[in-house]
Amino acid sequence: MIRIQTAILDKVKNATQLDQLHEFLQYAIELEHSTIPPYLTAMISLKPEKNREIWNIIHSVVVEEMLHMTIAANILNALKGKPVVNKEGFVPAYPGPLPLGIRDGLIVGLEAYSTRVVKDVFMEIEEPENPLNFPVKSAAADNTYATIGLFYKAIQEKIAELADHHLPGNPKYQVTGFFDEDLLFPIKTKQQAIAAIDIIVEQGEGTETSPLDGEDELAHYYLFAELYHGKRLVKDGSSFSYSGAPIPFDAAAVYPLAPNTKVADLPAGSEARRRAHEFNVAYSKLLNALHRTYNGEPDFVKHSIGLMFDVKLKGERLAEIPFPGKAGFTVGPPFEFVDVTF
Amino acid sequence: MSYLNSLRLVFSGDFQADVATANNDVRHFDNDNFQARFQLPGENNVNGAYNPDGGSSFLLQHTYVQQVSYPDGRVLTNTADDIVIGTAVTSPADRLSGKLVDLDPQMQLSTEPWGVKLRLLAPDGELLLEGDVEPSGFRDLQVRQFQPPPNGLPLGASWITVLTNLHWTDKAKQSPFLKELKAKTDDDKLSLNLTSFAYYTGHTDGRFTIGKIIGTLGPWIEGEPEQFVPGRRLFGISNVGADTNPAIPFNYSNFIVEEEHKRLLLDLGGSFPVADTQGNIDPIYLKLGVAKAAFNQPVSTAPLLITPAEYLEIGVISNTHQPGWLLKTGGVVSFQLSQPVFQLLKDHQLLLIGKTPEGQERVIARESVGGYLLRADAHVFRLDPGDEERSKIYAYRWGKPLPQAKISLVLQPPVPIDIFSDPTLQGPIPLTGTPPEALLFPAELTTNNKGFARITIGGNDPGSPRGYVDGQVYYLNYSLAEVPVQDKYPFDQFHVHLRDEFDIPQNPAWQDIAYTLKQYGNLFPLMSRFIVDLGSEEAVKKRRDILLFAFTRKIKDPNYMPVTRDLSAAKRKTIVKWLKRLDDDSIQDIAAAESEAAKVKKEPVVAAAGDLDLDDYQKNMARSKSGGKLSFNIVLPFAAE
Repeated sequence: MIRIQTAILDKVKNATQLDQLHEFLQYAIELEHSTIPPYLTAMISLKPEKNREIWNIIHSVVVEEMLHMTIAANILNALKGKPVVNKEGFVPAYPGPLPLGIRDGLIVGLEAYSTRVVKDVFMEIEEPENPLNFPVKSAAADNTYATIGLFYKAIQEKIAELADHHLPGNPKYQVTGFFDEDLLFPIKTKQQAIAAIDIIVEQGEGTETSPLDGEDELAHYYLFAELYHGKRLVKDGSSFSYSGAPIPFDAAAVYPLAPNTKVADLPAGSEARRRAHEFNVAYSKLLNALHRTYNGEPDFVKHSIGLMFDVKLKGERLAEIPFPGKAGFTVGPPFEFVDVTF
Repeated sequence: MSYLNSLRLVFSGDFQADVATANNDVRHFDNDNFQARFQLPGENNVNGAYNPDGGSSFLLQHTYVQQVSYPDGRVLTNTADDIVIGTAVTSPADRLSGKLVDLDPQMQLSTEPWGVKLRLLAPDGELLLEGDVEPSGFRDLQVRQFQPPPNGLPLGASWITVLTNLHWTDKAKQSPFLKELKAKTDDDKLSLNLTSFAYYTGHTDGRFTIGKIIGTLGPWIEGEPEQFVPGRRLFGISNVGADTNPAIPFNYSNFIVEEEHKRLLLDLGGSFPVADTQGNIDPIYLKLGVAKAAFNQPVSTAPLLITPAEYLEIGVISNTHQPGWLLKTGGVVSFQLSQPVFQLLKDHQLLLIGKTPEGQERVIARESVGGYLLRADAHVFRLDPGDEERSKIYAYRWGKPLPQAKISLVLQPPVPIDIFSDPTLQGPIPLTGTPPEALLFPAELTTNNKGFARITIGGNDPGSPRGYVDGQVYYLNYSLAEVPVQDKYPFDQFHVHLRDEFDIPQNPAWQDIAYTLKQYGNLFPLMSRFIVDLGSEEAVKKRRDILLFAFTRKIKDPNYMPVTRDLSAAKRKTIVKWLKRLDDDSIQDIAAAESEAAKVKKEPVVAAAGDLDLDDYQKNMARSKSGGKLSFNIVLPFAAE
């Protein structure tokens, strides 16, 4: 699991004014976003029309991470903060720790899909505080870190404690659409902020008594566990077990992406390098578009839709290109934030 | 006035045109005979041609302002002189780039940019000026590279259009040039010329789908055309190829004479032969003169010699061999005119003169016979039955509007346009231009006192003459009796895609949209492989929301799927209606037999023996443009000094 520094949790708990939460909601946006490049990289490595069930499962998680990122931005806006998603450093350097993570914690990279990556990285990222009933791994007792769930709960409690009924942000800045109204709704009141945080935590971790979230869908951790076990998680008497329909995996239908591809690693003047840069440009434009969307132009979200597809298409075309000088590998999506001017 | 003006700004750099090419062969639209190999890349138009996985993006890269010029003759090239110099000309930082879109598989020679926005950004990232590029079909496609080019495509072409919805920022006030430009231009528009060359159709030099681009920006004046230069034209008459396989350097160039400055401005940016893919130019002796008597020779493979007694000299075009000259200057040359030259040029032809290797002077290009120019403004139309499109045709003589000019309009006779097709593929090519009576246009027009004639083009249901591909494409020629056919860009025509009549079903079923969507999936493998298999009802249903989003954008929105521009309004609405119905579980799909599209597919009308065809020159240009290669290997027979 992502182990969050307890010091950060303490700072949240010690907040005495709403605007002291801005910093932590910005971290939340960064954290939610930071999981997307590793998941997308795995998706991009799955060859077209192959391994679609796996692709769909990861895709469902990515969509929810995008939802969480947007909810966090909506809460930050509701508290009169300013989300920033297009600055240097917003995108973590992969491989490395995710935002808020303790230094000796989980290291996350950008790699092709494998059951190893699912287990060692994806399930680790999404692991709840107490995995339910069918633990794949139990967390050692340790009070030097906190979980994402606890981090969100702390923010939630602070909002409950400090906020008036009506939140101070400009309601026109709230981003809605493209998701069900009961998942992505304008956050204008304290109760709406609290409910929104519940959605993030439940979709990520499940509830404290079930692997299902409030929508009766599996939480991320259990979706990835399905991929690892190669079987669907199904009701089994009063509990659940990974004994459902098999999830087929064709390991040959995965592009051998060079892990953590960086544009700078590709030969100057090569088509591979240019295309990798174009991927970065598309991705950076997407962050620029989201930045406008989150900063007073919610309708600008329509421009981010086309860019999301552009990122996907460019990444998938990149995945087919042999990595110059690295036999047996193809070019992975670099996910580097760049100046898109040139 | 236009971009070709004493007040102008030149930028240059790279452009990317990631055009999709599996749709280049019209027969690929026939779903029943579609083969998987049509989605694979191939050289010389074989299979899916050079870029079947293209996504149609069109954008500028590494493009910077090089210089600005003023009416007093100053040319500034340093940022210290004006902050606009050195600024980047870019696409928006936060939305999709624009798209480059053909009108039809049987008309790929008036390709338009859609949804393209240009922005001038100072080095600190601050915006100076932003505007939208109004779609305009390219013209003046001509040979730029006479040796087999490493990039693959030896041709270049130009888009002349206007930049609209201008946003001038406060920062722009710091640029004296931009202030003057803003003051001089009319109606929230600027005149823009984009000239492309050295485009890579091959995977060499890391530049696949990249080419060089020159942009020139100048004032636009109310009442003048938007999509060409209201001025005069030079036509290349020196064919350095063969009669059946012409290769004409300096084929089409625009020029104007600014009377108030007694200045000649000639744009060689779109016509100058280049020696490499960076646009460098080999040493060449060139000068300009004015013919004392009419110089009306047609295109010739033999050198057309001339003696100094036959013309008044304007001046030698110098420095063109300096590295980067073309990209820095945009290829515009400027000459102050002496009084005798100025007078003679008022009603005599401009000549571009070179030398044979033996040192004899020869005419490379001459102004049109009689100094005539006839050109349509907007000339590429997508038309549904019952709809109308309007444009203007302008006539000029010696650069002045020509009133009372008689323009005749004649439809190009039905021809099987196969110039973009896979030479290895069997099967007939549908005829274009039939039935001729479906396109409605005036047979004759007369220009008004301002030298232009308004034209309205309409259409009736063409009745699915091409069977598997929607509607019909028409090439509508317009001409002045006075202008010889060679003094005209051969594709100076209206290009109209007239769509088939289609009744939107009450309750559209999958069968009503299946053929169209399957066709898109076939022709845009990028879409079908990576986004949604458009041939599968289940897959389409799953991606309903995103498809609904894409099919309901405005046509200038970069999120609009490029291919959607092929669709009639009725077919697009049918798709949207079907997608919206997916919400309603109570509606069952009606049986295929009841649906509109279940009608028996019509066979295309194909050519009979003896039907006309395009001329060799048109065919060569077109083949080469779509990935085939011209067989040139020519050292230009012009002296360096």
